[in-house]
Amino acid sequence: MNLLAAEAGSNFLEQELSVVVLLAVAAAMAIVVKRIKVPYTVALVLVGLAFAFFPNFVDIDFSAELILGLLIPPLLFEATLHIPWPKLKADLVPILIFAIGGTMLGTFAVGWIVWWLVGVPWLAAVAFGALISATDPVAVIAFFKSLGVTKRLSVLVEGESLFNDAVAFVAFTLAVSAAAPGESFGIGNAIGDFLIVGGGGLAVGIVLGWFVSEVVLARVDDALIETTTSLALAYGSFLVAEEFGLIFNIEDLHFSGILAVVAAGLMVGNIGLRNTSPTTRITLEYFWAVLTFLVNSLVFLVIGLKINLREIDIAENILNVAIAIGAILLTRLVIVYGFGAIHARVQPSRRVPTSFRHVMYWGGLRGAISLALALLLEESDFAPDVVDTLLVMTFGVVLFTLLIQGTTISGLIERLGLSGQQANQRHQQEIQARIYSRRAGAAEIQRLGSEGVLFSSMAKAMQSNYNEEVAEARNELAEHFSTHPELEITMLLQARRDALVAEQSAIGEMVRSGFVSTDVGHDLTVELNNRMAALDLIEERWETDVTPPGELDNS
Amino acid sequence: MSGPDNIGELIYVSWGGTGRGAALRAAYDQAADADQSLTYLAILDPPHFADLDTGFIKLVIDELEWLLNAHMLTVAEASYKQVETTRVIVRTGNVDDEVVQLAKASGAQSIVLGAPIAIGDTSVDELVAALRRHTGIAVTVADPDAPPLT
Repeated sequence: MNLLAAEAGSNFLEQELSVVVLLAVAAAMAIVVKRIKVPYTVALVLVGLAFAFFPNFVDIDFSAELILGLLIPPLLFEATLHIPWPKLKADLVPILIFAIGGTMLGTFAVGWIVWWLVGVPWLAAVAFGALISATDPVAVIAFFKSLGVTKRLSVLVEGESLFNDAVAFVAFTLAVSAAAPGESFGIGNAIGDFLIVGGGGLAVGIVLGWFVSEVVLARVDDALIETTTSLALAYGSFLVAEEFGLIFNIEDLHFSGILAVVAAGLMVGNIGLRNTSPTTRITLEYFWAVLTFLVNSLVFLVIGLKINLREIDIAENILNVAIAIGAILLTRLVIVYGFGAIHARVQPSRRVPTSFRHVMYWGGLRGAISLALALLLEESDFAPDVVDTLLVMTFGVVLFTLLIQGTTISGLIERLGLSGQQANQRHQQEIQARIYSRRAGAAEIQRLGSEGVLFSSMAKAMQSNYNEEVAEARNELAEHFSTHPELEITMLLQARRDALVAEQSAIGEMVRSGFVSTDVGHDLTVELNNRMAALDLIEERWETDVTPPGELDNS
Repeated sequence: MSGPDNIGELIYVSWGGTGRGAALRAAYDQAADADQSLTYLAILDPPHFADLDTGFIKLVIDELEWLLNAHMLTVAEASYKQVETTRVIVRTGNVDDEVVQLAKASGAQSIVLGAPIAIGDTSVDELVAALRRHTGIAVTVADPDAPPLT
């Protein structure tokens, strides 16, 4: 028997078992958090932290490469898949100001504070400033969805995060590279490299995303093929960008894999799925929802696992961690409010409301990207004690943002009055459901009466009761609409959207049955998709997002 | 020339949003009481819609017209009162220019502003005064406390 093979097999089994344990824990936590008021991601981090005290329970090593290459691409791809280009385009200016200007400021400002107060070398401090500037909105976006926060705020937060991940990654790489023997950090070179790495990444993503969208997705309506292709694109775009030099035999040339995934996801979400039937779209979205859930669960458990509390000397590091937290909070303050004020002057029509800025400030959580980049420091030329210091500071900041900011952000959203729509809509649906169910009850009583199962006088009396209840519910609905008039148009918008989806299905059926040609079906589907995009735009700009409460006169 | 069917016309104007409170219902009742026709003028003004390309803005106009027609019919259906003629017009341009142009063309008798949102540096009061000056007809801001749908 081959002993080495046996050992490798045993090791593989241990790792497989660890993954099974992690998935089981993730599923269990998903059930638990439905009963307690803790964000799912925060609960996972807490469980991951607890694993440090049971070292033999989970035996798996998630390297920085594994996190960046395996876990991050699908998360980024799925996030961009759902961002409508018109909405992103409408807020591209503030997003880029926050993502590029903000991240650059954050990199150097946090770097300077850490260099000054913690005493680490300048390039190591800049690398830390870069890695800690990457925001991770997963936990915040989950709250946005459950609280019914407006789409514009989601797009602003997600958009900033997607692009600042890329900027932080590039800045981090430049700082770490400059620390290598014989290298130096020049602003001119850094800007040039940044443009090449970032622009190249975007170009790779756009080209691959366009190719897959036009050549495969737009011509095929098959759930299995489209899902598989989208998965290949998510990982493929990342790999091609990162390994561009290796693939095309050009020495030392690589582009931003993160930006490539972002661009590819936007292309697929906005172009690739335009001919996709509702059935295929649902399958594809379901696949990505499951994959994102799995990957997210692993990411946040890994964050907890990597922050090995047993090995950290808390007393020795507490001051450094406090400095790092203070630095990111202070810098984020300047970025969100300072750059926000500049943007308001540059583009007054798309001014980011103050209430949104509060959420963007406190919702600037740090997560997987920061952690993965910090783990990459172990392979850098910085001294081991410097790397250890930066790692602990990263862990501290990630923990603080997840456990403190992550658990209080929903309260802030509610306090700012940005979560009301969902509750109002829920109440509206409750009343509508009551009307619907009472009418069904009345119909059944009528049937029983007409079939002679129930005395007609009894049936009439019961129907009369039902009618009264329906009338009461109708009055309540009218009252509700008068208090929340925005619901009228919201209801119409939703109904119109449902109707357009039904029209799309009908066209798909006609194409499949051969009643209309593929070309005609394609044109009609494109028109309906454009109408959906127009509805999205109306929803965003016409009704609710333009003037948040208390800011009517400033719009 | 007067408005549709040569009866008096009330123009309900909104921009940037459908308007808060029961603005459209109030305008509907006001038109019914005065026996006027009701024109819902929705304006996609430059601060919010100038960045869209021509093809897309046409789709936005179509969809908004569709929605506002449905909204108008909903209000008409729910009201005890009746307005003989209603119509929805969606235009792109500056709020004051579009209102004045339509009011003059249709010979409207009154204007109700349903979305009292300041436009840039111009306050709602200034807008009301300017519209009165240029059209010579009554201009009011919709009553946000109008009775609810029944």
